[in-house]
Amino acid sequence: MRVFIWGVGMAALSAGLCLPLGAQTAAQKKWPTYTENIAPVMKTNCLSCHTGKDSSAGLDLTKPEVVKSKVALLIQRMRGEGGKPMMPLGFKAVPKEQIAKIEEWAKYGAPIGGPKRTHWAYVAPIKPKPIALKGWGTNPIDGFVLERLKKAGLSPSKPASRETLLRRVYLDLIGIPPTVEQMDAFLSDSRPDAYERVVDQLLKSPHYGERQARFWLDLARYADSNGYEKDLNRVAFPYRDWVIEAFNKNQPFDQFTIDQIAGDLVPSATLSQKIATGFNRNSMVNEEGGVDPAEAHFLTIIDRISTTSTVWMGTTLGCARCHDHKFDPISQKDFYKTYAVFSNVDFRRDGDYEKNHHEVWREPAIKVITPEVEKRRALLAAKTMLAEANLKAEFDSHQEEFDRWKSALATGDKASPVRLLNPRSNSGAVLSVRPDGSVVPSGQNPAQDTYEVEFAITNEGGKALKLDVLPLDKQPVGRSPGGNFVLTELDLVVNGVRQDAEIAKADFTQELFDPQSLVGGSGKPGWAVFPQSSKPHTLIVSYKSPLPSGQAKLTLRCNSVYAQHNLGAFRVSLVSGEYPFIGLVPEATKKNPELTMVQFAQSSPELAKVAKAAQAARMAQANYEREIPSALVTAEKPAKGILKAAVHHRGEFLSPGELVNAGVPSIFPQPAESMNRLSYAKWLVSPKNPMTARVQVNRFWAQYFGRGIVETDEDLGTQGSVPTHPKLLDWLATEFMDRKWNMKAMHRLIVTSATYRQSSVSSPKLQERDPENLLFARGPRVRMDAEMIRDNALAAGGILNPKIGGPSVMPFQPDGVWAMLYSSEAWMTARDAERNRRGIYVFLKRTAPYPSFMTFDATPREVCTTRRSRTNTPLQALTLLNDKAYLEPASALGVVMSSKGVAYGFRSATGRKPSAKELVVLNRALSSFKAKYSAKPELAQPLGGSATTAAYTMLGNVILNLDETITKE
Amino acid sequence: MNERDFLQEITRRTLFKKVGYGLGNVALATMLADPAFASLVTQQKKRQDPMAPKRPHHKPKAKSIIYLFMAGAPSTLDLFDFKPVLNKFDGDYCPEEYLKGERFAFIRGKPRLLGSPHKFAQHGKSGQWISELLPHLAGVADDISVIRTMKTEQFNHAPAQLFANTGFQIPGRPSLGSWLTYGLGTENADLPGFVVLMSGAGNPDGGKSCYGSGFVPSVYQGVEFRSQGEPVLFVQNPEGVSSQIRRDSLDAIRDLNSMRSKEVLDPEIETRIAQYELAYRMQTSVPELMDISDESKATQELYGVEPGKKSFANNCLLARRMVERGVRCVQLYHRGWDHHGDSEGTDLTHGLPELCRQVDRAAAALITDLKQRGMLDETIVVWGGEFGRTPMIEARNGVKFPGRDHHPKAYSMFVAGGGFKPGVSYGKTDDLGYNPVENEVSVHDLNATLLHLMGLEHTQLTYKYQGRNFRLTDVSGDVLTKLIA
Repeated sequence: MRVFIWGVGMAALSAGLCLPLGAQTAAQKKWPTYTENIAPVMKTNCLSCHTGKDSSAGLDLTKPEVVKSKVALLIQRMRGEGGKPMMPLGFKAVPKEQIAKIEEWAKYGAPIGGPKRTHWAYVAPIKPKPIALKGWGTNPIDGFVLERLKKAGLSPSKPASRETLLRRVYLDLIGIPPTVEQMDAFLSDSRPDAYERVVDQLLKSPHYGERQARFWLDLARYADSNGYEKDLNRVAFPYRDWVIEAFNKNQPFDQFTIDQIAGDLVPSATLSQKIATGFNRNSMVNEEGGVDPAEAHFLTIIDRISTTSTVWMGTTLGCARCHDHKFDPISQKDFYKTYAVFSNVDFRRDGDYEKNHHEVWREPAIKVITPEVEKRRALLAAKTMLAEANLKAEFDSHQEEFDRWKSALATGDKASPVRLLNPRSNSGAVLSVRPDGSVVPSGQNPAQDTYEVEFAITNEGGKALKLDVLPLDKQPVGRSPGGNFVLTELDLVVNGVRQDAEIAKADFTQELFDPQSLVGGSGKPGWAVFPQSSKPHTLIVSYKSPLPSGQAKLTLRCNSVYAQHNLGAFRVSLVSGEYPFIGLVPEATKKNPELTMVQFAQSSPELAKVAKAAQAARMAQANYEREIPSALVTAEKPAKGILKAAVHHRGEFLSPGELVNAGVPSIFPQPAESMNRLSYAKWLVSPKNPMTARVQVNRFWAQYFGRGIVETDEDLGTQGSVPTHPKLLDWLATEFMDRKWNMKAMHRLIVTSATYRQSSVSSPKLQERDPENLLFARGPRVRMDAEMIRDNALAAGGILNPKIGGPSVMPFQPDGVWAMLYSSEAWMTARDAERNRRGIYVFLKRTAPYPSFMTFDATPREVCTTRRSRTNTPLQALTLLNDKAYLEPASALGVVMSSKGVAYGFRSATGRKPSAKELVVLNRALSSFKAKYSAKPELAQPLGGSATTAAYTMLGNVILNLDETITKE
Repeated sequence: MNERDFLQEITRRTLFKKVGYGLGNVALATMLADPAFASLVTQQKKRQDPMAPKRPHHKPKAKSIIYLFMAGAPSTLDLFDFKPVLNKFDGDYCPEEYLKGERFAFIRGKPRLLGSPHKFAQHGKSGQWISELLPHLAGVADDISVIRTMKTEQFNHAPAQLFANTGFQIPGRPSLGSWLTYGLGTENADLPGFVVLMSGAGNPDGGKSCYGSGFVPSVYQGVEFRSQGEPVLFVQNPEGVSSQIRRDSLDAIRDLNSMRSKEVLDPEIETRIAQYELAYRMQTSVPELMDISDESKATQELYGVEPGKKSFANNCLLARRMVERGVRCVQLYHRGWDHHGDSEGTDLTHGLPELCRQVDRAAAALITDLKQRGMLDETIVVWGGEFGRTPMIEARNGVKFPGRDHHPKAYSMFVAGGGFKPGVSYGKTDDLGYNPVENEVSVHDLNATLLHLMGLEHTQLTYKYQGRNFRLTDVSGDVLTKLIA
């Protein structure tokens, strides 16, 4: 027969609740024995120091015979008598009644008694026989619950109203409340299985995965940044989306486990399995300068061990990093056996700690190439091919011209410099002509200047004019202090007739100062060449008709808003030939046939069009490649024999000691094979493992009832809290395994139980007897978690964006929250519907998490969190009242109410029709808001304009602030 | 019963049990009309929230703490720990025996010793050695006690700051302020009990977890008061909501919540009603607190405040106003002390004096001001960073600027008021300032002492999590009895 120790906590529990318990009653009127009564006291109070061969004062109190022989001394020291400090030193005193028990034990001969017992959680569960349901209940859960209620003299509550139940199950299964239409449909559905139909429908909803993932991501410590000082952003969402998808397709929990811990090691691992290993990668990365990368890696592995043991085993393995576990049968060696399992992950070294003081061991990332991505890639590649083919065809049809162009390119442009006459400035600069025909300004440099030169055109037929700007005498090409110019006008008059320019191109153009602006129009902004103002540049302007021969006058105006940006030395030439711009083709291009083609394409509008299309297609392809997200994954280095790790003395990185082989804690059934991550993951979900199934069903239960059957769901060990319904826990755990780890089946089982369907309304009797609702004599009434509060508000206003997955989003957050971060990354508030995505998608930066979520007890996910606290604070009130992120849904809810009525809005938010009295309060508030906004119309401006809109927004704000709105009843 | 149960009992259920159907707001006329509730009204006047003042373990010497955290780690060899021998051997190689088995963040190869480029003198009747960089603090030498032998276990910023603030180098444990408010509550219901103020070049490296609540309920996390924008997030009514309209909406919320409370009998609703009233009061008390313009000109001058800016001086004055109003713990962070000397701006002759100028006057003013108002006896002021800096020049990549690397083995902090002895130079380091040789003080020792002066025994202030009773001081820490007046 197996015997369980339920621990000392039971006494407190039963005292508080007056609950008769088997273990307690059986022990009545018996002398205390060591095993039964004294060992737990020792464990709680003494063994943290007095354990094993390193015991304080050489007193190993794990040994009953030692306790027996020293009992008088122990009692004396526990009482602080004998002039020596009270034991346990530095901790809370041993309760008087426990000391009395030890005394009583000693008095009756200090019997050791009883068999050596293993803590219940370390013994594999055996399925308890379901209790026949009589009168109340729908499935075996109810039998176990009712049995406990009866023992406590309590009875179940009546079923919750259909309205309440519908909202409850919507929130629990998909995290979104039902719409008014869905409520009405359910209320009018008189089929006996109407509720079960809703449950099945919700379990099929894609939002089911999002709701379940909310819990899992806390366990998995998923976040969008690396943590610690630098806390740089990371792309990790493929893992988050994997989790949602895994829940939605109802992946059995055993596979769900294996994929996350060791998906990469599964033979022919799929992309999805590799992404799943992102679970391990959610550890923080400390990229601070001066961090020893080997130590950082050591801490990363330790984080993985702690997380994995907490998530799957409900065991605080991390305690054994520095020493044997004080309370649970886990040794320090056990810890490093597990360390060895996780130690062989692959990484590359980034940086050099010895040389540059900065080195991070980076584990791999892979591109997420899904079938959809493949499809899109193929499509884009096809588009590029088509565009390239078009281009080639176009080229082929221009082959002859292309050949001509190429020969023109080889000979260079046909430009002949002209001799400039009568140069003059209209603002006082001195322009002089050099013998080579160039003009050099000197003297005054006014804010704006205009140069005029004259020359003769003797050769008819030239189509273009070339202006070379020259850095002569080590002067830059412009006269501004920075050496730049802005040429805003170039006007050519021949024989008194202004010539119509067509195209202006330059060899180099300052950003936003395109020379084409010189053609027609205002001449703004003009042509400029910063930062290349110390090099010569060329501008070529072509004209619509060939230039006639005769007397030409050229005006060059520098009339920009930038003062003194006047032209420096320049020379003018006339260009003839078929391709006037050919002189602008860079030398380097001439040698590259492809670039030559690109340049040629510019010379003809049709060609330019297809060339542009081809370039766009190539760009689209390249951009898409860049957009394909990466997933952080775990990979294994080739193993050299059995994986081993050093036991680190006191858990210190610098004190490695003896080597141990990879394995599992010795308290558990030992696997036959030598271990790696894959066999470890399989071991976690082997039916022989006593912990995993219990831990999971306990968390499922907590999701619905606000607390687990074992409240300390992170620790089912000897120090954890006592299960309120041990039989129910074991039944659920074995049922879970019997149902092949089918999670949806377990959720269905719980939400269809009569226990779950009870009304959550309390009574004076229940408040007196079981205020915490430990025995489930009523349904759960629990404040929503942070994300759900926001989702519910958005849904009530009808603006929740149901899109699933993708990069994390940044909804409105107040300015300055990210202002003081180490990294300079910015919060880019999402636009439109993106900002109304569900809370699970809100970007989580670990050192600056979304403030309103933190106020409602979310976690920064720096480490694994199994359950959040549920506080009730004034900052929460301020957030819901004043945060713009909640004012937007309030205003949306106001719009809904202005057309569909106040009652409709109330229902949208709370799931039920308001009572007549409640409607009175709501309408009174609405009229008082209306009156105040009408009296002060300017006040209504920021809230939507009219007094009525503003009043409805404020009414929406009232409704979204109700306790009931943010509570799952 | 574990702490969690205990706490929940305080926060929720006990309230209900004691108060029957509960009544969070005394002004609830509708409920008052009901004779079943009338007799409970008097009990309601006592605060029942998790921040309500709790009985300490023993008679406290101090009521509040102002912790001036100098993030980045000041080079205290140039500020408080005068080392003439180090100055004498400036430029020599550091003796081998110091370096065996040592790991440095940035120093590589054989480092040379670096004397302080700054002059020291003795100040006050106590004759404490203080550097010329801190002329104002030198003026209060007799009020402060310098601990010269602090020692920590971490040598990178983020882990060391977490260690100093939470007693552990990895995020997830409650910070000092969280432990204090968890253990003692706070006296002013209209303000948070644990406030955080930032200045200097950014947030602490350890992030929000430096003042987080870890595994204790998040109601105990530090609340950041901001210099720009709203002082506390969401404390201001949004545009378009006048205080009259806000009052109307709060009345409607309260009435509807009360109706529901009568219906479902969940005491949580009564708590929420009370929290909304508190929120309303905070909307007045916070802006009033943050408005330093009502301080006298002399006081403003004393601190050197710069209204409207993010400044350490403003924060020091605000800290005084907060403890005056009963805030339990005010945690200031001033970042920028990381003087490696990898460039001129971060060296001991340019960067360090600048940081001292930002901090010296206001820190001294805070002590003077508290003393003048008779508050210093009940208020602990702590000043210091996350670790010290090496007696050797860092010379990263061969640069010559005088700067020092991270050094966890010995550094100085100072404490004042709140039951500490004044004017004491505590502990002694060796001639190079490398290791403590007398009265070494660990981070846990200091934290244990701070808790002790606040009336809490660090070994008894525990919270059970993951099967273990956690403390701020982990598994060690001795109260520094020699430093207690």
